[in-house]
Amino acid sequence: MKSMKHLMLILTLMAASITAQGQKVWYNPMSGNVPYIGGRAWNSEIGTASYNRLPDRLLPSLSKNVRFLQQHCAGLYVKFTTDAKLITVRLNLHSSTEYIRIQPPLCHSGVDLYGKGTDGRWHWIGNQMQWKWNYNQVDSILINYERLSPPAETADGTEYLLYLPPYNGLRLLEIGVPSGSKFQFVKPSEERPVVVYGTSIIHGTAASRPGVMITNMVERDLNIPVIDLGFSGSAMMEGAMFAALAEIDARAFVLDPMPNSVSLPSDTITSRAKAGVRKLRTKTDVPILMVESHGMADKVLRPDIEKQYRQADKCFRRAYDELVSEGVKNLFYLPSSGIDMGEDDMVEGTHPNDLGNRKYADAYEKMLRQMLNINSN
Amino acid sequence: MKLTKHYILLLTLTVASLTATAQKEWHNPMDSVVPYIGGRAWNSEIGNTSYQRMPDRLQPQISKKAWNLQRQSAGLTVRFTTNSKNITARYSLGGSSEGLRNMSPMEHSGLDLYAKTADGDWHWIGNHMQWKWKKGQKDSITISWEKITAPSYRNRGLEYVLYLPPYNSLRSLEIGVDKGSKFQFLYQSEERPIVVYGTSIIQGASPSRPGLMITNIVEREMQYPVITLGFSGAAFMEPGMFGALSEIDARAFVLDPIPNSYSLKPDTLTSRAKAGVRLLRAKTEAPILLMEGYVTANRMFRPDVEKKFRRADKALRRAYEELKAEGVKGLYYLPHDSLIMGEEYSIEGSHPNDLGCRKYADAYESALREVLKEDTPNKRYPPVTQRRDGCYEWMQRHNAVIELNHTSNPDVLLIGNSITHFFGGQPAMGVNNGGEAWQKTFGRHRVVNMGFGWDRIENVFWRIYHGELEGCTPKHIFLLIGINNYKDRPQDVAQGIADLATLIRQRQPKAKLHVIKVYPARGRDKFVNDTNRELEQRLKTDKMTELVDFGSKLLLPDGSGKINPDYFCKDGLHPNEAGYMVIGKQLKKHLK
Repeated sequence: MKSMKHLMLILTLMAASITAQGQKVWYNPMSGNVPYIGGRAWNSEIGTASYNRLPDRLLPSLSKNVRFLQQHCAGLYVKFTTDAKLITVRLNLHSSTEYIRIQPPLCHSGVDLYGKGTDGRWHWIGNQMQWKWNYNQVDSILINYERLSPPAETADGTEYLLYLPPYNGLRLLEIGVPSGSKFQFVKPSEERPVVVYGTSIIHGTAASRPGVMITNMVERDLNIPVIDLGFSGSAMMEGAMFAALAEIDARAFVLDPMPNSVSLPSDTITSRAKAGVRKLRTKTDVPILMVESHGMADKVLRPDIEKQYRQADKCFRRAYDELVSEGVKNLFYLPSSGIDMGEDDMVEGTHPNDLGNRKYADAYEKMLRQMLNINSN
Repeated sequence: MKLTKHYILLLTLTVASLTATAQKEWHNPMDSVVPYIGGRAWNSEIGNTSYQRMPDRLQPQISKKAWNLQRQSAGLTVRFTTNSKNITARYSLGGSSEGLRNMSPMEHSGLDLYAKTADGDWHWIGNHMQWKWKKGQKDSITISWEKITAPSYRNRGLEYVLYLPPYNSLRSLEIGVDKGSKFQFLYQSEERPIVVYGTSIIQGASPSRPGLMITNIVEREMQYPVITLGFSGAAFMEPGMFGALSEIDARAFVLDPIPNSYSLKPDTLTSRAKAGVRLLRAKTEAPILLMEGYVTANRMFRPDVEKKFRRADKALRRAYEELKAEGVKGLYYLPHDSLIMGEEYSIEGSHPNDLGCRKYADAYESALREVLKEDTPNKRYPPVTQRRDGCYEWMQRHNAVIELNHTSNPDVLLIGNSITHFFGGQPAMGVNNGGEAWQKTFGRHRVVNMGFGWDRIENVFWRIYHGELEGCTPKHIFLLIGINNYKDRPQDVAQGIADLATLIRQRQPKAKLHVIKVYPARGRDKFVNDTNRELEQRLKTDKMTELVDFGSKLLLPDGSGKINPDYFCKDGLHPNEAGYMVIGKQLKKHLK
């Protein structure tokens, strides 16, 4: 085991680019055989070729939008240990995605760093605006985390968790530390994850930064790996998507497609939801949570939209009721009242903001604790 | 590039079907000598030539950086009423501001719309991504709020407030409504504002949209006008800036510069804070709240930043203590432990996100409630505005009353609802049923009619809390209120009137207060009688407070307790000219 660790260390060092800029050593999480990418359900299969969320094999069966959006690194992260007090992240992005009106670039295309404290939990580290990142820039964006004074240090230094950009693809990611620093990537957890299938809300709109996306908060708060399969505007519960989900050896599934699937015909909502759950059940008995759409933040003045959502929820509820009466076990349901958005909780009426995302995460966590028998602390 | 195009297409398909409502009428808030811009301290002086926050006259005394930033419309609002179901804002910006990494375009350059119902409740309206606004676009951006199905009152629509872009300069703005719908711009309340001087945090970094900026939250929730003088990276407490602040006739000042001023030398910080407060005190007695820096969200891994803030706090604290020792009054202090940022509350360590701004606003509100301690809201009848009456605009009348009270040196104030409103006099708005009765009653007295159609007790509370008894030294104040609270229990109504009387006595201790018993009204005999009986028990009368009954003479002389129809309009509630004659004859006797 020890020799294994040593071998890995050597491999890591070999892989590190020696182009030390300002006496920095750069490390690339794509250097191992199996890349050091967490939050990715098919990590080994996708390999070091890309930061995609889905393997190429699955793409032909999926919708065009999903094929495109799976390139976004929503919910992906890299863990590493280092004793460096200055950590620099260098990014090459797919595109600028600056046409997005409701997200700060720091969310759609940024990274977010957490470090482990003495309590064994993740604690946030702000970049304090130490970036080199101009308007429209997609290559060689630098984000610096300076003057770190980690509260808990071992011989290897401190463990860090870096969340990747939820609304952009990555061509290259490198982590730079001053030369002479210890540095080691941490292999992604082998633990079975909670898999969340959803819309732009799950994809990461519109948090202020990646770390406060719903799925990333749930992951930290429950200390369980979460796979983010949110696809903006594209959560239509197609059979092929459920077939893909069924491949994952999950601890639980959360199905949260309604803010998109609201646009499907009523019967299609019911039939797709039923077919999807049945598909999962052919492979796995783990708990499945079906989530209704959130209550609308502006329902007083836009009751029309609230009504559309609630009508679609009824079709989703029908699917749940029929599945339960068919004898499908371990099926859970989160009604809209559990994620009712207050008037300050959304950015434009379609997406929760930080306040709304926190409320979402609370609702998810409450249900998941119940489903997975996790004690609340 | 290909990917971008693809994604734009995708967004376009999923998002936008901007119904190109062909028939729109456009309104420009600058189409007035004094423009319809709220949240702006020097609104008349700046005039209708720009959306900047300060007048050009002040440029020489303001730092270059702050001067550039005052062009950005942080905290500015446009208010209007309309019954249109669809509202579109069309605007042009000075710059794209898209270089900002820690703010969404919807925040730095967007607009945000809220509406108030006839009963005075604010509600947010999402735009549901109905915009035409491409990357880098600066001109002719449109944002639409469609299918607003308001709990509309008598087809009067709603009162709206539109928050302007906090991190961009507006070059033009027009508001489009469905053709044929009613539309009217409103001025913000004329009452004295709360003035907040601060950093980028106060300018509006970084919530998700303008309505969720700290100052805009505070303004909605406390219902006082707030002037946002936040300047990103430029809050260094220079005397020129304090000179500018001291020009504002404020209800209170909040000084929150530490997240920038921490970089000053401690001695400089102390001396600038002291000099600044002294400059304000040379002009105003308004309370001043000094704010320490927030407690940083990432203090575990970045104790160095936390330490700098705490060191600066000490220098500010020293200024506070030395000023107090000098005898400066009305100085308040909010320590950093009221502003502890949780780990999720910041976007990059320097700016609070929505969670952090909410936390900030809570701290501001609880501190300001203490600073403005006389304004603890009545629990039974929390102060609120209204616009239930279609014959006038309530907020316009409120502003007219404030102006008259400041300028006409009135000796008599009549506070009430439509029964007082329709008597006559100034400000003249809507209905006048009093005819000659007004002149016969008041003669040469300088009277301000502070009757507001459809007012209830809670609305009068709001008006008094919001400046209507300021700027004047009346000899007599008459209060007639309560009939519109007929759905409440008589004992509550009577207690509400008694509480109002106490408040009026506090605000105008030298004026004699005449509380008038509720007049009879058809079908409300029991409510009126019970309320008046309760009022006799609950109103504390003294040399300066009396309870008077003018209503008995409006009844039939037969002892039936029914109203005399000769004195009333057909509704059996509002007096006609003959009724006002009867009332006026009695009232006149109390004008000595």
